[in-house]
Amino acid sequence: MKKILLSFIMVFLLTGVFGISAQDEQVTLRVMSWSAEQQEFYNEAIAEFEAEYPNISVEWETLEQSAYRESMPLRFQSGDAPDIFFWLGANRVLTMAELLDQEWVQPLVPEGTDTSEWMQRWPAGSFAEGINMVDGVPYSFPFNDNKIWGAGYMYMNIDVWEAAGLDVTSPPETRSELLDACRTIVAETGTFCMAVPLDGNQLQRTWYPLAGMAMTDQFFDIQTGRYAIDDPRLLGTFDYLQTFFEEDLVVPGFNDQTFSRGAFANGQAAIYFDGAWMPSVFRNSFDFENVAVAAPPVPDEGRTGSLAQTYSENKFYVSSQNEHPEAAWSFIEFMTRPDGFFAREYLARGFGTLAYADNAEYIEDPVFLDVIEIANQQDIRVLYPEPVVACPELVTSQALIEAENIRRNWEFEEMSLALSEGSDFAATAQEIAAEKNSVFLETLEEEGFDPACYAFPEFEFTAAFDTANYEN
Amino acid sequence: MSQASLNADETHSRWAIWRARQREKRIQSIPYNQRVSGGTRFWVIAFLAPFLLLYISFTLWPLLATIIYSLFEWDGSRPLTEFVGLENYRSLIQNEIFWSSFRNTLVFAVLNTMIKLPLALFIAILLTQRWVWLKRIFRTVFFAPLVVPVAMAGLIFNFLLDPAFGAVNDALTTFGIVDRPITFLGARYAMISIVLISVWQILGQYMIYWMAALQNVPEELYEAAEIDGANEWQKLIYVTLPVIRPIAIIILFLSFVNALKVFGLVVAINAPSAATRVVSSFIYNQALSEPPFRYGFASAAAVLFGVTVLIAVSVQGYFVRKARD
Amino acid sequence: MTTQQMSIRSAYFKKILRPGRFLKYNLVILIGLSLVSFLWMYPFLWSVFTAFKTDGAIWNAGATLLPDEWVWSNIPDAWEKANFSTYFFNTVLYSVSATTIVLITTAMCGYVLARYRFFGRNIIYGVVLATLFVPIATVIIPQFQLVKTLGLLNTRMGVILALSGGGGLYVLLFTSFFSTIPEEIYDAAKIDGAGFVQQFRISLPLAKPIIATVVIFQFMQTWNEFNVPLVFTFGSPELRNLAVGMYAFQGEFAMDWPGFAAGTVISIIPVLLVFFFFQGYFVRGLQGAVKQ
Repeated sequence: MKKILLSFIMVFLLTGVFGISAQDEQVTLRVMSWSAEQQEFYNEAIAEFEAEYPNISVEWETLEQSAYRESMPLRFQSGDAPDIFFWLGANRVLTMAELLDQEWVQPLVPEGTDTSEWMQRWPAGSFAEGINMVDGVPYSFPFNDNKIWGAGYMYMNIDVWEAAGLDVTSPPETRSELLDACRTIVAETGTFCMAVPLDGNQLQRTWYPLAGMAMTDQFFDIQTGRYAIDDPRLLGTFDYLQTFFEEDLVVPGFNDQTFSRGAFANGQAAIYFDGAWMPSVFRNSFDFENVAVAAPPVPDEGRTGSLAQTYSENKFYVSSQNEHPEAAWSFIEFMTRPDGFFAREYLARGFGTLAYADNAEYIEDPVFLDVIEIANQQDIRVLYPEPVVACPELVTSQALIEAENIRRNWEFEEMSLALSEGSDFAATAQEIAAEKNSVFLETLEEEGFDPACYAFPEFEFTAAFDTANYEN
Repeated sequence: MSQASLNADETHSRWAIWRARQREKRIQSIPYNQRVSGGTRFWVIAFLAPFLLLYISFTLWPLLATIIYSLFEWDGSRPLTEFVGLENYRSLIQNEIFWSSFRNTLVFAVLNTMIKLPLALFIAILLTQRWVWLKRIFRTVFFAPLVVPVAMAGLIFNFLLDPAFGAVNDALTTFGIVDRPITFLGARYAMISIVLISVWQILGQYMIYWMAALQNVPEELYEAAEIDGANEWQKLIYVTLPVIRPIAIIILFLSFVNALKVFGLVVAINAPSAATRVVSSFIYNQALSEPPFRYGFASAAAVLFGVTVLIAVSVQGYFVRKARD
Repeated sequence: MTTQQMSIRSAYFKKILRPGRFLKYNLVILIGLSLVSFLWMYPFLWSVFTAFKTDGAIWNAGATLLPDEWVWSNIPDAWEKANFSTYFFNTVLYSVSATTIVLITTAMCGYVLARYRFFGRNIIYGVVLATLFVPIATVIIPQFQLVKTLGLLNTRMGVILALSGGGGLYVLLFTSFFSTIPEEIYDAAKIDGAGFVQQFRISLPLAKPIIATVVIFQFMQTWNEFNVPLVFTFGSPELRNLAVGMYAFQGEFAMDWPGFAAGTVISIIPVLLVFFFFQGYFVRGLQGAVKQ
């Protein structure tokens, strides 16, 4: 009896010592993001993953964005950082640089892994040094695509349009056409035409599409390398928008996005500008599906601008406190399979677009498919030049941050006020631009960097920037 | 003694005498002359220690840390190395948005206190009268707004006050009180609207404070007053207010400083920021809502605001005391 | 006043306070208060009914109270989705513990500050007073560092202690209240041989209204606190409370209002119960502190 017991113990110990290799050891991965709506989806994806990798268990925790951002530094300080985390830095393009500076991240892959095949899941040029790669080793990957996903779409409430006798399938294409359509809608239906959120910085949802078609959605003019809210094309956009307010075509009140969306979904407005996420948001949060989407209207004389397409979607990182690089890499590889469970379900549920999957194939929402078509065919977003790629030393520059810090959301707050009060904006615009430029240039001078690094005169807003031009 | 009708003069002087007697008693009974000695000293320390320990750790130390942070430019992630001295304060003093927030906060606090304290006192007196029925239910009614999350309160009031579809404007125009809907949350009326909403929200709290204060008034005084023919108003002026004065001052003080810290409601209610920005929302929007976080700047704003108001209140208190003597 | 005179008065009053006497007043007041109450309660009721609405109904109905379509699943869903059963227990634990600690420590401190003169008394009082003015923006970071140094991160004790550190204003209330208790009461007790602690215990029943106040507010504040329970439990999410759990309803692009309302309904019941129970201490006439 004793012998049997002893042999059992021996076997047990031996398997304990030799049998459990690094592969079989039970590992727990902690992932974090701030998309609380997707929690159920994450749980299902984890179940799939754990079926494939039984020795890795995954916990995905979501937390509301501002609490997430505030608490992440404290997590790192306390040693309780997650293994994989979602992050967008102060500068969305330079997030990796910020995270490296804070010592929060390690490479996506264990040392020595060959990632060339994995990188082919993305279009060429998705991985760039200093953006998501260091010495050829990836630290992040483009998650959402950057051509479709983002602001810039005009949504139409089909019920209201039809009640006004207008055809939703041939939407207005120029600014004048939109203005006329709005007047018709108000006259015929007695309801309002546009829902424009003004609270905080939410005017951006309406501003980006309109300003983008005239010049650019940024307040920083990447052509001249200066802040340019007082550019005639942008001031013209403001005046155009103000016309709607002056003619009482806009849902009254200093509303926020929630209210504006609610008014739109409730048939109190016919038009709402926002991003590619709206079809899903309307369906899930407002029970509203009778939506159509169109490209934003261009100036009457033709389109003269674009929205910025940048390297902004590198969102998932492996934290420096992760102790299981292989497990983390397994999960990331699982997440980024173009035909894998994660991609298919993410797209099917309308959570967004993905940079590494065929969006049109798996997305089921017809309105979302329209969004994709508009983005791809009409090139609303084009590739912009990136100063840091031209002059890598700019990574440490605080010039743009200092200019922003004079007063955050300055332009939007002043524009919202002017729109709701019916007052003039041009003088304020000049003041804002002048002050921001002065701080910007002063900071650059102190830092010893060349302002010319921020200017790309050969770039025309209507065509994608030719990356060959970086060589000067 | 049991005359039912004394004339006003006699009533007045009776209370005056009673008040004088009370004041004497109070002066005599304040054990301030009681020096701490021997065994008592041990107990005094023992009684002070737990609170002081917790307080120093979790209130005083963070305040000190805040002052330290205010001398740096710090994003919360990197080490605390960028010492900038008084630079944050300098840029704040020149920042007109800060001062706009400052003014708004003071206006809010004063209006809020002026409206809610008398109202809460009235409700508290009403709901502590023995002869009023269903007191418990009504007290819970006034308490209820305190448990409504501020996000929900913001949403419902945004609905109610909406110029186009809101119920309040509907009612006003239907009954012909106004011709056009009022933009309650526009630049002109946003502040007073938010003050009123916050009074709705917080009244229950001060009702409770007043109810606690009212407990201090001995029943016999009210009985004596009633027998001597005082009506409710006289009872209030000559019995209630004098007796609760010390704690009323504390309540006034608490009301004011709490109102200075208003934040959630201002963020949840949609109104132009120029009209409704307060110091807490200024700090949040300019320093803590989006990266890069500016903890140094935020701390400086908090300290600058707190110290300025503290000085203002102290100066005012000094002059009030002087005037009284 | 003699005992006889007093009993004459009481008899007089019992006669006066027959219910019928105040019927008129009561009806007027009840009607007035009921009207005010309905308006006052409206947002509260709206929040509760929202828990039974569909997503779209909120926007279609706006400020209307009752749902067209009653949805019964929001509350059970919230209970599961936001881990509410675990969080509920934690929240109760934290609230009861912190309230008890705050009550005891601030009462003791207020008593001493009110009754005795000693070196530093005015300093302490003044500092507590002054610190109430500063809207501390970054309080969570220094608290975090302190708790981390003490090794109390990811422990219930750490959370409870951090939640118990903000009683400054209650000290003010207690001090002010205890100051009004005249020395004769203590003198009588001292004659009977009461020591320091017994004298304190005598004064406690007189402080019932302040105790009730502190309990109600500290309980409510701790119940709704989300910063501390979040930041001190990174490694142990099972220590979190309801307020943190409510974050589950704030999505990246939109808020789940019916779910949030459902979570709120679950969350406010205990607070209302505490209030309903403790407000009994505020009925006038329960205590006649001062003898003439």
